[in-house]
Amino acid sequence: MSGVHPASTTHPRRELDDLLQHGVRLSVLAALRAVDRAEFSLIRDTLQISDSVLSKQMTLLESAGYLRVEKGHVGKRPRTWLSLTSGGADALKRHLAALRSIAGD
Amino acid sequence: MESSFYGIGMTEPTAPVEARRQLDQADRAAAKVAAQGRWLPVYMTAFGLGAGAETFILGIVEQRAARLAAFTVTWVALVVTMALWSRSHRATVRGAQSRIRPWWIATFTLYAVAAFLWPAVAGHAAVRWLPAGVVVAAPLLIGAWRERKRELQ
Repeated sequence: MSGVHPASTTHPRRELDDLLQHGVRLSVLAALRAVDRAEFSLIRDTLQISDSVLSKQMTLLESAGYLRVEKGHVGKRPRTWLSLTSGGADALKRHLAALRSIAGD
Repeated sequence: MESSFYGIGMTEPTAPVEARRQLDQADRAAAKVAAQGRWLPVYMTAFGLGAGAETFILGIVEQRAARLAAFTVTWVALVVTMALWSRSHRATVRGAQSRIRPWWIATFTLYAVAAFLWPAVAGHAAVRWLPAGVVVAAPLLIGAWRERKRELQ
């Protein structure tokens, strides 16, 4: 998603991932970075968003190859598990690095 | 319900203050979910103590039928309880399963040794089965302590 430019001539803004410039999508990937996987409901509750908003953003992230979605059951209850792919982890790392650079860290 | 804090129409974070805000937001989301995933030390401690107690009980019960009943009831109760409890958690910290695997293997190897080899040495003397229970529990308790220590870093 991000362009590759010589660091010396490129503003860090150009290293930002287009998909992750959306607050919910960035937060979803960031929330998943410290866990093997998390339940849909945990991410929804943590980010304080609705099922439909998370579903929509989840689909976009999954299509981009950033997110893995697994469906299953715990007892009789259906559960959806989300996890970061290696591509998603790399994209998040690059995006956060660009944000830090912009923030002057 | 949509939080404006995680605003949908976020502008491109070209300004340092906006970049900082997004970084803080990402850190908070990661911290909240990671906190929910920190339950393995308790799980390992409970299983370690259960395995140790199981070893002790099996050792001191003399009658074969009573031992078999104790073995079945206590293990089923422990495994079912812990399985239900673990399934109630909505996240697991990254890499925890592979980190704790050696401690599981160690405890169950020691349990097998205690169950099959130790009776010939210890008989049914409680004084000999108590340390056996402690030895069986030790790997999972050490693993739980290390995992907890790692979480606090």
